[in-house]
Amino acid sequence: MDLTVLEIDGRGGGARFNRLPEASLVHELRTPSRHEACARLYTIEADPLGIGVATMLSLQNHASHFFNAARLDESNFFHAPSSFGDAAALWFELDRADIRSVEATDVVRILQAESDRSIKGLFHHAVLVELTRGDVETSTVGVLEHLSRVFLNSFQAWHKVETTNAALPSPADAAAERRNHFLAAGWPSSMTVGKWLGGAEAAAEQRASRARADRRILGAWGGKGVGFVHPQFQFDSFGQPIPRLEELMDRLGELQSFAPDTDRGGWRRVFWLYQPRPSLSERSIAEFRSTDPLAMDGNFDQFPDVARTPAEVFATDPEAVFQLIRMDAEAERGIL
Amino acid sequence: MRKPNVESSDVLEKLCPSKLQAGIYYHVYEAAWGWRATHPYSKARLALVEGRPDGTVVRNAYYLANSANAAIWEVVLRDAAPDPWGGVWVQPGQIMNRRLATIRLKRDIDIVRMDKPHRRHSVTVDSTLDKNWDRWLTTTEYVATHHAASRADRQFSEGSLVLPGFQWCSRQLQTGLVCVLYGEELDDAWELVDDIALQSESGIEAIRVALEAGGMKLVGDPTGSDFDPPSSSY
Repeated sequence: MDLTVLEIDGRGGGARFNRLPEASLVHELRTPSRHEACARLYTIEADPLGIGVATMLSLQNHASHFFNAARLDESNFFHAPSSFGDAAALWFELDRADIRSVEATDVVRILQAESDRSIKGLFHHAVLVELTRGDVETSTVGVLEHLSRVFLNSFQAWHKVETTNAALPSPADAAAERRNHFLAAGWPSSMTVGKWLGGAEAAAEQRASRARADRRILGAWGGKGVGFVHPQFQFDSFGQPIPRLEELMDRLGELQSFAPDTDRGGWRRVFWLYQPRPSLSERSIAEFRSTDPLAMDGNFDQFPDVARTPAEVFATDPEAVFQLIRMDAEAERGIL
Repeated sequence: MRKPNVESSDVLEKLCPSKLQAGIYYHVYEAAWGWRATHPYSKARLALVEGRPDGTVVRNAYYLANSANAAIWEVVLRDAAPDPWGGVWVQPGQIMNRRLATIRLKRDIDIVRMDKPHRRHSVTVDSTLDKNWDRWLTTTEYVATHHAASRADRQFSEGSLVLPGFQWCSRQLQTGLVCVLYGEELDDAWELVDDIALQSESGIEAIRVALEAGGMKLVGDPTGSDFDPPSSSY
């Protein structure tokens, strides 16, 4: 099992994705020799061919959340053992919205547990963060602020690179490319999902098929020989559909583009669910929910303004996704 | 120029319309209503929306931009952000009933310019109001902007003037200028130059070009034989 790492290098290297053998992290732990300011976010990579789109999006958003949470609540965030002291690195586990500091000695165990879950086809939620400091005189907050700026600058630069490099693909090619990234992400098959749903193993694929037809879960057609695959965000760590998933499926049907028979392959809904949307940034949601219509800008500075995907937001804030569906439906009807 | 007494609820210090220059502009609209029609129920930025605040005089809104890219970004792409590969997919429902009109303004008309530095005619630079306008012209949540527009409209009314509309820098495409005009259907100061359906080949190309201006690529619609199962499969 490999790892994908998002490395945010404070020495001027910017932010970049890498793929590493799991064993290399264990090796790194034994030789804590890095003393330059750097943050690395590690997660298990399910895509056998490379770094998957869902993994990249997830790591980008975990990084954003990590830096913002640290900035907001530095005093509580860096409680023991989260101070550098003599440590070469600080470690954190991000599990959805939760951040907790962990001992370096726990890292291998956590990673192994995630790896085991992934091998069993269960969703992995946790991302491990390694934070190393450069100049010993620099405060932890200073390190975080510096790395946060590096991350944000790199995030913007990635898109500039897209514009200046090779000719852009046609829309049709871009659609096929995006689908292929999702297909390579290791999303569970009908057989796997059918087993998760329970009942006789022989009827597992039929159960998954019925759940799709009843719009209780979403599948996307992977072609002959692959069948349907099922976006991972729909399932909890035990393989069960997450709360309010059926309601999500129902509400998506309110959009013209997703009416029955217009999205038989499921890819329109997948593309919608995995398209980053500025209106789902934590800041936009806070502004929307503000009871003071003339509240000043500064009231919302505490919230990160990074676009998020509906798939990413749904488990923790389904109402925000339902609101987005309402907005899109109004836009379709020309109300906005 | 009028300079009424500034009240705490005012959003403009001076009522000072400028001019929207004669020339070519672009407008994305609902096909069913025609290119001249103003929108009676718009909830977009600075629209005059009933109940926001109570007593608002609802006036129809007409949005336009000084480039096709800006018009598309403002309406079709305003909630778009690139995926890790710079791709953006636009759901068909967002464009299936919409058209892009190229329109000509034959003579200058009044407008309140809130793009900088023109904004200094209406509010003091770096004042609290100036900062409020920064937010109203950039927030993605428009409720606060509806209150601001309503208050501006009331200020104009109290000064025996009619608020013609606002012009500002597009939040979506910063090189673009966008406007909202308040009132009934466009008059004969305007004429149609070109008109395309966004779902047509030309329309899709216009969206692709607009995205490319922002360094992004258009992701095509994932339907058809490459994406859908045979009819017997589900």
